[in-house]
Amino acid sequence: MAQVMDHSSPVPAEFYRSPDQVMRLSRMGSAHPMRLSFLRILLRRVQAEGWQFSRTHWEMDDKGVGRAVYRAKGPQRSYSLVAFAHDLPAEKRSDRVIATAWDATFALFDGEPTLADLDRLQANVPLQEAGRITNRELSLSRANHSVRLFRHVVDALAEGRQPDLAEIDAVGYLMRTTAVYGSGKFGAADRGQIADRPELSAPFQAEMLSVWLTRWFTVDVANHMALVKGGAKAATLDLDICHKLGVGNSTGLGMAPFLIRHPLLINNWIAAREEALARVRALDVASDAAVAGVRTALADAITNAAHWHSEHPIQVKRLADLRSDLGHLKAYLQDWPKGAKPWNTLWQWGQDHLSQEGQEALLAIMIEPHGDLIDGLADCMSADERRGFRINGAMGVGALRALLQTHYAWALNVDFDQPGQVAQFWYVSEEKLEPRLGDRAAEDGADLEQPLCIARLAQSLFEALQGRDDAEPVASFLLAQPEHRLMVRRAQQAAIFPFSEVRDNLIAKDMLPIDLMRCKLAFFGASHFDPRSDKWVRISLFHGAPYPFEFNGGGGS
Amino acid sequence: MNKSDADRIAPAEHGAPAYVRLSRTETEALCLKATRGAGYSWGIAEEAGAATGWLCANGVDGTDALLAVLDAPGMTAPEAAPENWSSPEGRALCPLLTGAALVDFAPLPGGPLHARTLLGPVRQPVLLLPFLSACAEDLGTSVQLEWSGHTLLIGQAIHATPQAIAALTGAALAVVTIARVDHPEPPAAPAPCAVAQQKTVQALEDLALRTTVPASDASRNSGAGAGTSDND
Repeated sequence: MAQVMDHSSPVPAEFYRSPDQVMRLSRMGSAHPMRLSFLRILLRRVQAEGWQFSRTHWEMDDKGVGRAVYRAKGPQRSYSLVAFAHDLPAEKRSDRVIATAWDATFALFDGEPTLADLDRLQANVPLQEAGRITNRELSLSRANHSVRLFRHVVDALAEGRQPDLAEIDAVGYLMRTTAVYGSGKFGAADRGQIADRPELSAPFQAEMLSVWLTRWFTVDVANHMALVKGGAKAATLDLDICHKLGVGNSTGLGMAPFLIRHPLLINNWIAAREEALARVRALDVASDAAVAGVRTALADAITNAAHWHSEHPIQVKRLADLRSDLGHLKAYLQDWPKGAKPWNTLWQWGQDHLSQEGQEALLAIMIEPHGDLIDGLADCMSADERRGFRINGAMGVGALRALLQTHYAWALNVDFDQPGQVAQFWYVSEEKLEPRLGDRAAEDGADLEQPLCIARLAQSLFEALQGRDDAEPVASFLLAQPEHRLMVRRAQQAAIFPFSEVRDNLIAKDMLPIDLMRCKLAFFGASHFDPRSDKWVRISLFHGAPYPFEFNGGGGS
Repeated sequence: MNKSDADRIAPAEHGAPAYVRLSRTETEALCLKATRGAGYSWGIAEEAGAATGWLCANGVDGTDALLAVLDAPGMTAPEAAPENWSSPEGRALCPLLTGAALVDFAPLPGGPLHARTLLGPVRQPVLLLPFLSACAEDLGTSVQLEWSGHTLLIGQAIHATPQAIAALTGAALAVVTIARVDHPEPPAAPAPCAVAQQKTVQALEDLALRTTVPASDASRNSGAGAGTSDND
């Protein structure tokens, strides 16, 4: 936070949005990918540093079963995606976390693997959660085909022609990942082991690199299968069609609690984005180049919204709002705002005339042409979470109470005697050790509720503090009532990190987990957010982005 | 990983390997859940996870000590009296509640490190080390722990002979003396992540399972993605 605010000419407070405005579920659930999204950070770095990419290993049989290695070579270190392709019967294909087999499985290796490494990984990576990897690996992931599109593409290429663009647009990816594990999971390298490497210091860079290389692999597998099927007459997939393919991702409830469990991290993501917006709003003038950049970004957003499909009623409505908003915005920008602070004028117009979906899209559009002003904020988006862990035991109970009144007014106002405010509970399933949401009135397990009901915990702490002496140190309060320790820690963090809490009741009847997921996925850089229910969602990553091999000065795969 | 570790972790010819190298992240997550599963509050469970993870990253396997605490959680908190931290009835202190309180009280006037403080008896005293490291960082100094003829210096790392660390790690109960030491912490070589016994990890996983809810048909059918085909 201090880093974020340490800008050479401080932006006046009037240009910032408040946590009460930003940290609401409905607005977080309207977030859009933008310049500071993690895959954009990765793409900027590999371009600026001249990374080289190559497929260094390819062993694939006629059924599409085998293994491959894709190497990313940076100025100081190399990373390799090790990919295993499997022959998966249709009845085993499931995107759910309870699946035990996949079309392809992957690990991102730290360096360049030997054949012995490949054999070790082959014995473990296809098992995913049931295997073990080591601190030489940075991520573990798996993916399933889009059966329909994969078959269509292979059939078309085998016959020597390109696939139908309508089919490509309708799906948008050949494979979708169903989990990408990093940060020490299943034996992988801890975040602390890699956090000081410049290329991995921003959040989720190893995971983004893994997915980007996976995208290349999906195209290679399709070309391989077409060649097997069509022989000499087979075509290879045109690059401009490749660009229309991202990597799909299917995400369920497992992702939703992340934002609650990592308050410093989410603070730093949001604070960086809000700082970017404030810097742009505070600009005195708009250069011709920036105005042109906004118009290009708007045109791209309009195209993107046209190709964005969903059948979920909430998203259908939001998409209609978005398309309408972007139309209004285009009309408004026929004449660029006159007078001082034109960016702020544009932003204020958006506040008055656009839905939340449109406002958040406008944010992404406004910051797009201002790379020089904001790209450095990418360095402020990771977090040393141990920094915020220590409780200040010397703080007085009175100060803690005041702090709750200041930063948790949104929580203290909730009436938890209303059944609708406690309708759901978060728990972890014994079966797959994954987060789930239960119906408190109808399901067992509420006694094993996870501490994600922050509003209720804050209220409970506030009540426990009533009647205690203001001067009593928090240390002695916690010695007497250790059950409030988690919430005291969070509250003290929230006083320093204003965007650390989602300011909504996360167990209310109308709480939608997809809002949490969308916020996180937008920070990843995901597009085409398509909820399949209130609890899971499909998205696309790297849609429209270049492929790694295009950074090699024209070389291909 | 040194050679002997690799040998120990490698799968045995018959049955499962006896040792496993968990990442710090895994150690923290497992110990948090196990501590909660044993009945501690979430906040103390977080402390237990962070503490065992710190030990792991400093080359000390704290999982056995934690399991011993969790298997029979006394949950006795100390009375924070000047120069003497013990329980009023002389019962053995819980190292998790005691460690958390040490950190909380450290910045206060009359806190436990302002003078030499006699502490204990405390169970599994090796679990105090991460908390003393946090105190040291807060106070900008190092902390000395004396026990049974051994002296351990705690700063960002542990400075002690392997014998002293092994003795403390093996101690089930101890009365220790802690004091701040106002000289700079000597440099420390980075320690390899500790290796845990597979059977201990399994026992902690069993405790962790107590935080989970068994599936029912209703919960399976209402889970994310349930009832849909992914062959599309």
